[in-house]
Amino acid sequence: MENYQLSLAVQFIFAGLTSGSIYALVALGFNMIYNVTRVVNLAQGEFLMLGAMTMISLHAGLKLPMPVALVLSTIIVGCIGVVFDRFIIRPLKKPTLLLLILLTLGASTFLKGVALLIWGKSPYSAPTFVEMKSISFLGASFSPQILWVIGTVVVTSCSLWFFFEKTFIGKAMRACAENPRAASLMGIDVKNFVTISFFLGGAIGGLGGMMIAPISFMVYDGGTMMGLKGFAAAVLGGVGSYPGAVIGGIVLGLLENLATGYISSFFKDTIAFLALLLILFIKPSGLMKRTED
Amino acid sequence: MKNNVIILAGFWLLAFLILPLSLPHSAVAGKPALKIGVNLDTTGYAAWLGEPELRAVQLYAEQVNASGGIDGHPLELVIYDNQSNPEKASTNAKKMIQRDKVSAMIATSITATSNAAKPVAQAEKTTMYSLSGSFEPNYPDSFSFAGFVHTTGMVETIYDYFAKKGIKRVALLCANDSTGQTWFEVTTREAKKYGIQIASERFNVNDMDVTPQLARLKAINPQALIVGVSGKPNAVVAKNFNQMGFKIPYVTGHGNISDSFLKLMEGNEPDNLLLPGAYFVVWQELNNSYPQKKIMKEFSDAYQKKFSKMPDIYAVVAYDAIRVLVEALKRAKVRGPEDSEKVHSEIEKIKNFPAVYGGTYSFSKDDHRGLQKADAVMLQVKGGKFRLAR
Amino acid sequence: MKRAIPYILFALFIFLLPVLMPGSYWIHVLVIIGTYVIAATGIDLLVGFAGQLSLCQASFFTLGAYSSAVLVTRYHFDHLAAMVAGVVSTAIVAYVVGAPVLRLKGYYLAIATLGVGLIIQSLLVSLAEYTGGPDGFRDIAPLKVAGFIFKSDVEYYYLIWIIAMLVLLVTRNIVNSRVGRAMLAIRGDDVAAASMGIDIAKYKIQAFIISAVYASLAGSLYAHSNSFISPQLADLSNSVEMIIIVVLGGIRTIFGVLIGTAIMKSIPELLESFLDYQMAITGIILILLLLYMPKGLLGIIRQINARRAP
Repeated sequence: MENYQLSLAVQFIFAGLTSGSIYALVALGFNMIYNVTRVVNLAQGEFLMLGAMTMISLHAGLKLPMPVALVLSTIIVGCIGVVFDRFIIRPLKKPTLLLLILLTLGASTFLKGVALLIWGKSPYSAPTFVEMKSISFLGASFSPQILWVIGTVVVTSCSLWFFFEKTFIGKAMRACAENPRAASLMGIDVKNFVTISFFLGGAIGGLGGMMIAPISFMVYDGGTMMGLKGFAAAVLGGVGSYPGAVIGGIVLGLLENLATGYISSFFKDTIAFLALLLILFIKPSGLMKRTED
Repeated sequence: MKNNVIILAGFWLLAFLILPLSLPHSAVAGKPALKIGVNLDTTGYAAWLGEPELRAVQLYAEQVNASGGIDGHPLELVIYDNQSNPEKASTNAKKMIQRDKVSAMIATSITATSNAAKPVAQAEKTTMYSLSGSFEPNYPDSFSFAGFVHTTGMVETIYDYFAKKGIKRVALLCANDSTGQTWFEVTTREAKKYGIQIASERFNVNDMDVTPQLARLKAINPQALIVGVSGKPNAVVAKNFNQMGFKIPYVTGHGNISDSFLKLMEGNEPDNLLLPGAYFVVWQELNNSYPQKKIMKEFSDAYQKKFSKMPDIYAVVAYDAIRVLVEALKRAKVRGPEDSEKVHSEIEKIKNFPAVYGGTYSFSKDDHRGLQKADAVMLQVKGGKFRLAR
Repeated sequence: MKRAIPYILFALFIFLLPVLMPGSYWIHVLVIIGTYVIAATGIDLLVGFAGQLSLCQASFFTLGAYSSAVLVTRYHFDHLAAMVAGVVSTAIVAYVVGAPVLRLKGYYLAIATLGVGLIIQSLLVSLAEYTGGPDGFRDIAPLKVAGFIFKSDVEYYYLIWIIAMLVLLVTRNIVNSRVGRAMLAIRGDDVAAASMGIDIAKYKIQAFIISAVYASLAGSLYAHSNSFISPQLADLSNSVEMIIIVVLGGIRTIFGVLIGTAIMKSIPELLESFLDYQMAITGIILILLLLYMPKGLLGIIRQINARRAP
């Protein structure tokens, strides 16, 4: 019986890590854009959907090998991010938090609408990246895809952290957000950096979608809920912090699945969001907010 | 204060922009058209039901008009999408009755939207035909009808099958939506009658992982799993189900009988995938002596020819619904919206009307579904196709 | 006296509308527009004046709707009493939630109110025994006040629009009072407002409660007039829609809500024939309106007027 309890716990934790990693990827993309531009992009979940859909089209439709499809669709969604910035964010003359939230939500409706026209309403699925049915561990079993998801999160968050904290360009990009005028006086090309940040934000979001496509499924409006949870994860971890995004995502994922496992699947969202509220009340600026802001 | 005048002007302007749109559509030459409203969930959450349903209804309207209409009156469909949104469903119902003057309506694809349209149908005394398997059309002075064998009949079909196979312990996993709710209520209620032991869990339709629930269900060492959900979430459950090495039968609802379900399950198909369904789905397997085989084939061929798709169970239910409505319009000699009140009592008189679904429709004052439990049958998915379950 | 003329004209217009288009389906749409005007006016007060972004207005609306539905149907409350009970309990919820939540700012406030909304919605789904669960709550009796039963759309139309106009006038008075000026000060700079001796927390929570009360009232009216409600009413998209209504009409104009609601509720009607293209087109319209008219229609009109007559 003890064994059963253990395997149950392991099962819950792995389920939590899976969804938590996806939330973390959304949160990373979200922070990426925020840190350079101070734009709150609530359409991040739609990048997830676009990533998954593009990859499935390239792989299943055009019969490209999986790695090629992965790289290509990452680039494609990155470019969509750039277009998104150019035509939707930049024309906004006086950005306020309220307008940005509404505008990016409007953009998310638009992206969903376009996806509906391209891919229709049926759900799509992708094969797992390696041919293996499941992995067993301490009596629990899970999809091998989960290792890819976790790997992606680790690699993405580490490289983002390294890039922005340790390299010159990264620091320059951060300067853009903190003081765009001073940055451009220092000879930093602010506009290019904004473009780059939207490219990366889109690419990271798209990558998240591709990782999850083999675990779950994708429909034209399948990104929205994950986008919101990702936003919650980013806020939970502290807006702008990369380690925070990862921790926030994992905490949210674990909370949800432990609540499902040990309390009731009916109160999954209720418990996850109650906990989120509690954490915010105790630490009003998230778990890992950088002190300098 | 000028501003407020301008607001007023703006409001007037808007009103006048909108008003012309509310004028009735132009009349068709010859005998006036008879209108049937089509209020389906063609976008949003239940879009995958609404789409085939709409196609089937349009196909039938074309067929009727090609063969001379209803006693010479062309059949005109007034089509509105309710976006799977109850509020829209109720607005659409009002709109088609009050503005477009329909004689009857097909409304809607799922329980929640049907429930929203129902009070409008009652208040306006206009017949509505719901395509939801769990909507309840039987209540005093009902103006609503519904397709499908009722979910209770479907669940009894499953339990009869379980009894034959000696299955006594059942795990139940239902979604937190309307479909899941109905399945949860009906399966647990019926289980008592059949002496079946049930352990149940719920999940959200947009969950990407249900292993926690499945792990908990494992505790009773179930002999079968019933999954109360329609569409996409089934694939997530099936994936996790296989991953965790379950070998028991996987039973899911009749709402899943469609090509897109088969496509969805490709590669994740549990070894023993069962669902209760209709004879239409397996019409090719039926004996030639089966009385409805001919109309089943005709419908299937016509649908495939027009849409290059296999008709699924939703298409059939919608096709039957409009067949019944048109039959009632004919019998009641409806000539326009003023006769719409007669339609529902005329449907109640329809007996032994062959169903493309399988079986026959026999309506009465107390039975607004017309199909019997015997019209349901256990199906199995084998090699990417629906078959009669052995 | 002159100041009152436009209001009287507007009231007259609203009063005459059903006579101008008898038996029209648009009366039904106008009933819905009226309910949303009531709820969205609260948002203008809270978001526009007090500057507190709230993404749970639709949940308060739904809370009001369910209070009326459950109390009337299950516990046979008097309809008016049920409505009042709904308003009071929503106000209590708003107070309990608002006290801690309103300490947060910016995105943190946004996500916290979003969380509150989701919690309310998922409770409505899970407490199926009382609420009917995801199926929704059906067969809600038509509103009965002092023996008079509201049945037709026209009757609801008059009831709801009279209430809507009262709510608009009350809100206008609140805004022009000391409370309104204090709220504006908080929106501008709450540190400065606090140092001027304004009790920030008090005014924030007042705005939050008033807006929740409007939403609850609108919800109760909606439940009776529609006779069917479902937890889908509490969707985030509905809360967002109420904010968009305010921004499109012109934030901090109060009466702009009328225009905003009329636009938001007409877009789907006008786009109906576009079927699958609807969603993409709605998205484009929203993006364009927000980009090129961030002040909203009434905001622009007022700006032009202000320039003309300095």
